[in-house]
Amino acid sequence: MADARPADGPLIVQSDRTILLEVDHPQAAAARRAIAPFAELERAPEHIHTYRLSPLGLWNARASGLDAETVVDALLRFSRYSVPHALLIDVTDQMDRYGRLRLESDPGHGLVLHATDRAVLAEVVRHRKVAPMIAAQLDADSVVIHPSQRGNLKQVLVGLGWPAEDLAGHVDGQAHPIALAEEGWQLRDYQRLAAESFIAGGSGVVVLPCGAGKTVVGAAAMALVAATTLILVTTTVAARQWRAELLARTTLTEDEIGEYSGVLKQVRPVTIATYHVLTTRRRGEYPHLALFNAQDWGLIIYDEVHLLPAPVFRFTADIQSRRRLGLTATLVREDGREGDVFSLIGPRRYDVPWREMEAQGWIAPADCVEVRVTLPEDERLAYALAPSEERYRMAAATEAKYAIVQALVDRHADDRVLIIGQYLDQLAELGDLLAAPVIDGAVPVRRRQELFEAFRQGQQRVLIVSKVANFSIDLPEAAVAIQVSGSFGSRQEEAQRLGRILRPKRDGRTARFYTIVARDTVDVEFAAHRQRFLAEQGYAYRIIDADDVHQGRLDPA
Amino acid sequence: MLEMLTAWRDSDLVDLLTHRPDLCRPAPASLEALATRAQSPSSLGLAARHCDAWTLRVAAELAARSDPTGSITAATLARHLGQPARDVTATLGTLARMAMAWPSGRGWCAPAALGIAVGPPANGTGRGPQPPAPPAADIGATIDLGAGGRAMLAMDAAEEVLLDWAERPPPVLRNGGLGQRAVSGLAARQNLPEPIAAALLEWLLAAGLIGIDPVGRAAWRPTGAFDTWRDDEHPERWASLAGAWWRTDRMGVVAAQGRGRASPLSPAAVVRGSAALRRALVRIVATHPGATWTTTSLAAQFDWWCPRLLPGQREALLMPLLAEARWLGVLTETGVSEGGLALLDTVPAAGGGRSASSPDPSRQRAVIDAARAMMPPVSSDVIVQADLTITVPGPAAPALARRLSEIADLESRGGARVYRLTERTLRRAIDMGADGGELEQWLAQHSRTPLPQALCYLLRECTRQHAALGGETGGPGMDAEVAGDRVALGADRRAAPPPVSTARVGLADPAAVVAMLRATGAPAGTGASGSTAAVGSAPRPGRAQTLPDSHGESAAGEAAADGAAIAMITLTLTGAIAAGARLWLGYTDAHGATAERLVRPIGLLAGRLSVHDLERQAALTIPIAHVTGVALAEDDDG
Repeated sequence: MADARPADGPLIVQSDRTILLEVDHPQAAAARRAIAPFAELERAPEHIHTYRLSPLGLWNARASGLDAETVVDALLRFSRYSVPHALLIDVTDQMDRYGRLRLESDPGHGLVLHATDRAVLAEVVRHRKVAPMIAAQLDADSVVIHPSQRGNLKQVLVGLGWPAEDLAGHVDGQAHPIALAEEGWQLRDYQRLAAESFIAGGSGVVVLPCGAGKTVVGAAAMALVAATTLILVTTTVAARQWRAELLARTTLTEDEIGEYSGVLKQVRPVTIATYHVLTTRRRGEYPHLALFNAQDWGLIIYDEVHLLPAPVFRFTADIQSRRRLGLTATLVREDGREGDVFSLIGPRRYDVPWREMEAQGWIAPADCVEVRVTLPEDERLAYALAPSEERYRMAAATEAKYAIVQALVDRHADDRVLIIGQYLDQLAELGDLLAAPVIDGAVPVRRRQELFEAFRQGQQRVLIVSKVANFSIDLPEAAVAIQVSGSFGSRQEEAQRLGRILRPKRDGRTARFYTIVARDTVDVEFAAHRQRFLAEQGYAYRIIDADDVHQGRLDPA
Repeated sequence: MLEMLTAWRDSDLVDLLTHRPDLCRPAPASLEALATRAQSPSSLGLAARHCDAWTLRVAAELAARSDPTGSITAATLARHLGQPARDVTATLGTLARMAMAWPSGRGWCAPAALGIAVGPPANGTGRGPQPPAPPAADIGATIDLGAGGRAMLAMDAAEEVLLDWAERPPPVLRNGGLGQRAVSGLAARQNLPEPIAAALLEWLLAAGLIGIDPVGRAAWRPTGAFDTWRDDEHPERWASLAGAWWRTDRMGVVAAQGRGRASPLSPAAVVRGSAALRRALVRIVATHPGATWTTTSLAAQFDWWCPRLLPGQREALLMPLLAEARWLGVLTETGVSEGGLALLDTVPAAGGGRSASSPDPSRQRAVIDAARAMMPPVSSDVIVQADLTITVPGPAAPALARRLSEIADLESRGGARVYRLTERTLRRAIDMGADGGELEQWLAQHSRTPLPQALCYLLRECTRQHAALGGETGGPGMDAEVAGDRVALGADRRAAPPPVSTARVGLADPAAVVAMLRATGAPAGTGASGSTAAVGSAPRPGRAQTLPDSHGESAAGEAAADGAAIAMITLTLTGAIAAGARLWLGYTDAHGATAERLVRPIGLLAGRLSVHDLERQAALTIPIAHVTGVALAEDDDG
């Protein structure tokens, strides 16, 4: 009789397709290794981690060679209670869908969609979106596809639930020698593995937490491809940072690296362009998208692929024969276009959860502290009477926060402190109070770089930054970040802010992330989102009162 | 025939009446009357419905070959049937126990009408004495899928459905049923497959857990029995609901398939014989452990086991029945669960007959024990994390689950339960009378790990806010909350557990009939018929709901007594709420002690009473079942 007693495993499968993993269970590590390839880690607080099963996750797993039997076996082996039969069947069905259709390169006919299941082919070729992409029927199992439709077809097929395996290969692009210059530093094991997994897979996404050195992974991939490379980044500052990294880590020289931004329009063997310039419209056109064809690129790197804007997606659909590497800390997109990343950039090729990196000492542990201040009586009254759309600003920018910022800066007298906020006048006032420079959108790029450099060198202990500093700036020496106001608990932004201070400190200290919140206001609600997000990421989270700060009770009891 | 019946022991007679319940409706005046009734064509036809194909073949052969005067030996019959005499003799014994044949001299006789009831013998080779063998399960299908866990989840799902209806009772259609859209909506909200949701509703009705509340616009609501059921542990809950499934002729699939436009819960959602079909299903699966079941392999079994049961309709019902039995945890993927086997034991083994009577208390006890044995142990501790989730890492004890649902929102269900705590849910709990400090203590006691600092901070903040608001005449926030409650109340009168009658419509108890026959032989006649009713009689819309035989006698009696007391209390409370009057309220608190408070009742929702404690100036919520008495307070202060 098969109805045996459930084993005492570390996993519990829920009816909503989440999987709970009990972290302190003796088999937890083995179970995590078994399910990580096919389930997305959604939350990782201190005791129980939550993974989710999704079609994309299962296809990603299938793409990396995992079969349904392995998945079912992992679920059954580590589950504490019985796994719903319907769920196992669904997992098997979903995984079985990947690869029944294959895009292949045919010497005689060019791009061919080949099916191992005729019924599926018959179903999809009739679809109104697929039909126009088909050039001819080759035989009962294959159709010829217009080469320009390679990306569009994959996108549509993911939507139909029949993701195609893309085996049509890539063009080599124009060769260009690039090598890593490992002088005084070494490629870390996981960075090497990430680059190699990417090359083995052809195209795809590498998921690494903030602070794990994604730029270096990019450089390693470039060295392996050894061809002209187009790198797409979020901001001009990030572009400069990539450039500096490449100069330091590879044999590339200044002449070989071009910048294609609002300021400069250089096209060189290695060109770094911003998403912003690519998506600038003129008379309804995107004139700079031509950059994609300006060279015979052998590799295109998408930095922060979870932020990739829609026009770039559309254009990426047209260049499916070029190798594409996506770099990101998270596959979650706020706009829900994870499917497009999967079909157009490629499946996930490598992934290390940050916890593992923290355990290995590659990123600094962080301690999050929320400080609650009480609005002064007059502000409270004004707040109560204010229209709701003004309330967040009133609460977030209260003067009551200034004294706390001052006290915290004083308490951390030996650390470099980053103060982050949303409202420019609030930042300006803090700048006057603390006699510290403010970096906002109005500060020229050159001046920003100077200030960041001074901060890194230790000549500038306190830096006040607005939203512009959120993405892709490396400030490894920041040990303390103080958030005084922030846009409404976006997960993205929170991850980026924390990323600023997650670089390992020389003395191995824990990074501190303070958030200052006005009590009994809408500020608290946003703070609750933040708390949830940070705790889900596994960070320690405490709430203290303003008085605790003034009396120096900053550390856990 | 009479000779045989006279010679029988009482237990044989009880068995006969259990398998052929029509024989005691109305109670026969004498054994002669019984013997005559047993040989009538209509009664024999009913009996044949529950015979397997081989038994029917032997019966047909016997009917055709035995003349009224003489008898035929088993050996002769066996020769005609081309089967071993041993099997034929055994089957003739079964027929005799069903009073469809009797021994005479060295041979066997059949009632004259048997031939009409079972038809002519089949030509050529018919069914053999053994059922066909189903295909064995392949490796994939032998995956362990514990029925116990599923049984537990089913009970949780049932509870959620009942709570859902307590909050939004759907209207009763003119045909006495429920709109299909109400089923779809419920299924979507509760994340249940629609056929399962439809089936579950029918079982809840059969178990007396939902009924029609005729007050105002007639609506479907949980009955007073729900509160009792909800206080039970999972095994007790299962015994009552699976028992209803086992005995009812109500079919959810009929409604789900829209066949004959039968509305769910309407009188038309009854398929006579479907209870027998369920029992046959469980027996078949029990006979072939490890088999793979498809429509074809199941149909082949039913063709042998009960060819006369719902012919024509049967095949379409098999897979839905299999699915619901698995969902409920009666069946495992490849066999019968311990609970299912216990249900099977509530029916006497001989024949395929149907059981009309409720199982005796010891059998009921056995079902509960079996359910407990198959269910994974409940968890009574939790894991509280810094993202403010509370996880019960296993099936939750009902009391724990209920307390958690008061202070947090249920976010995920399955093997475990995940609750999310927010400032809103905490405020809700504190406004309803929970004490922040006590809550912290309770959580700390139940948590396996130290409580996160952020949670303790939040609890203190909420308590502080509550106190700040409470100081000023209840505070505007409080007043708004209270007003909200009143609005909710106006929309929901489930509060007063609808006067769903728990009066038991007696089904003739075979044992009692036999005792009567034995005792007198005098014409008891028509007297008994008044107190009997057909099995699975359909509810009549807008009328007091009858409670089918899902409860033991004493349980039903108690429920009725409780029901009356609660009805009185709720009547007083409803009046006081409407009038805004003050009450003296007596109740049993969480520690079992009794208390008396001067209160103003605010609302009654889902069996819970919220009041404003006028002495302590605090809100208080108590289960209506814990209220011991109420009295209107004298208006002494003018």
